[in-house]
Amino acid sequence: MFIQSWDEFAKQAERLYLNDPMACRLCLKYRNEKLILRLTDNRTCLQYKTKYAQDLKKAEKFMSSLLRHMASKEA
Amino acid sequence: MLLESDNFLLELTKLFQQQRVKNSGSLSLVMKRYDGQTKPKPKLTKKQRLEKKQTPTNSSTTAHDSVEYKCLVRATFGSKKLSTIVSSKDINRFQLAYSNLLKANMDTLKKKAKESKATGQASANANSNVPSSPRVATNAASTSSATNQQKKTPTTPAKKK
Repeated sequence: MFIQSWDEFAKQAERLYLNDPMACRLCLKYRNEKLILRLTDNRTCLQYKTKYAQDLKKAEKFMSSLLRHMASKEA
Repeated sequence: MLLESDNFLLELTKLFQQQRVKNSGSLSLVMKRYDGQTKPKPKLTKKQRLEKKQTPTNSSTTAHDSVEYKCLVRATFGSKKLSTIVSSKDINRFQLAYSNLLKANMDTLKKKAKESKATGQASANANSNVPSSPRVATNAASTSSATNQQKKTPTTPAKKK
């Protein structure tokens, strides 16, 4: 399902991820002039679609923190 | 193709270049947590399930705690596939390089911001930064701090615990 607002996406995505970090994956799809973020644990699927460069910054920030958490020891 | 993180970034740049030259096709990136297990867990047989019910063992949980998590990153463009595993000690370097790479290469996105979003954020910022009257200032400050707190919690999963 597509979520319209970025904040909403980030919030829900984080909750979903923390619920089961091992099962979640984050997919980015970059196609000419479009960027789709998808976070799923094979049960729930959250998607966010954007065309704008400003969202890329937020997405990149979100990805960084997620990346860090994934490689940390936290459960 | 499993690569070292440096090579991965290099090859990923090439994929982005290919995509640009072709001007078609989509590039997808996947990242997920990796604990060293390459195969999916086999489903428990009936016997094992019964055994587990009777004796709830701690062994699995203790083993789980000691696992040092890594991050598996995959990239696909057409039939080309790359993957890398980043351990926690390389994460800082990789994350910086990776996000710079993405920022540099995802440059076909539109620069112009959506009107509604941009104005909403701008006005909120303006209120908190440049208060016109003291009464407004207190209101704005309180609301902005509240929103900041709300915002901070979802965006920083790493620092939470």
